[in-house]
Amino acid sequence: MAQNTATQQDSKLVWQGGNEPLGASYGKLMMWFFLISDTFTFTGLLVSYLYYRFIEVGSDTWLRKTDMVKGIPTDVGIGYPEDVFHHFPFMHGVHLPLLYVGLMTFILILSSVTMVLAVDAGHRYDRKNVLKWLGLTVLGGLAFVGSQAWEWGTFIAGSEHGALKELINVDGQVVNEIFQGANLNHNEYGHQLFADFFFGITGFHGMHVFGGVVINFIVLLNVYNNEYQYLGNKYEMVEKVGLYWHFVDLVWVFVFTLFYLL
Amino acid sequence: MAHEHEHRGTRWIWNIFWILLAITMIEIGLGTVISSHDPNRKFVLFRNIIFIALTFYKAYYIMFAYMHLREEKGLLKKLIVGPFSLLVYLIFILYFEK
Repeated sequence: MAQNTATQQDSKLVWQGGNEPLGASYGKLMMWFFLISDTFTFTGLLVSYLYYRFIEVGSDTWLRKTDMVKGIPTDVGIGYPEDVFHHFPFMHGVHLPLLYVGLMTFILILSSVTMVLAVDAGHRYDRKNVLKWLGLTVLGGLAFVGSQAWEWGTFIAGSEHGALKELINVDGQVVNEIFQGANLNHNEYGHQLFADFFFGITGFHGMHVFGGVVINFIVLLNVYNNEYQYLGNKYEMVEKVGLYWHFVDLVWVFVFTLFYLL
Repeated sequence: MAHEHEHRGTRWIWNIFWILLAITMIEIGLGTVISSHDPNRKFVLFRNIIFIALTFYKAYYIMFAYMHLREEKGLLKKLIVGPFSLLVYLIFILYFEK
């Protein structure tokens, strides 16, 4: 067993990360610790989203559907995510619910696959393939962040007709005016908290993806500079950043269901 | 050193990719066929339960296959999955205790 040999060979190693309880190295265990704590952060955010959507605010006012009736944007009933997110690049005015987030999910799953392939190549000390697959993972991550930017842009720009909202004009009077899009103060699609949670949670997730892209890129440079080839630990650094990268994918799976499907 | 374990090949990685992709396609298909506006609310509730089940199914594949949790020691597996199971409970009480 790895932990016994380390203890017997050199007792100093025990307090220097040489001991491997649970058969996982110090670095991998700490990555798991971090991921579990990060899980609690995301769980807190997603569960508070669910709480406000279904219990505190309720589905009736959470999202509202607006349509043009006699030239005026009119509230026509309860709305759902499919009434908000139905745009697709270069398909202007076509109602395509779920397709764009489906594409984003596809991009993230694909970049997860390239990451597993990079870890797998690392186990075989196949530097060339680690470079290839890790490089593709970085590109996939950038593609995802880019897609999210487009998604945010579309959400902020809003629908063509907008919705009548109570706004405060320059004289401090409350007036009913057409408002298009959503930001942290106004939201044409329904309750303000919907926009706040959307920006908060997808933004926090996007920040994780961006952080992952930066870390993956640094590890890619290190692989290029042969930093891990001769350590004899099967490219463990690639495996550790891989764990983080899959975690980001894991969170997206939940964001996808809770924000776009339900 | 590099060959102490026989290499499993990369086919299993792609197999799981196809599974994940298929589940995502099923989710998008279900979301398109059964609209959230469907007047039959039981249908929509049923659809939502399927969505949540498929989500956990996907999460299982990502954690156990891609994050190599399957190959970790039993105690480590339990230590990692244990806290995650609280999430299941939390979603359960939120959805059903309103």
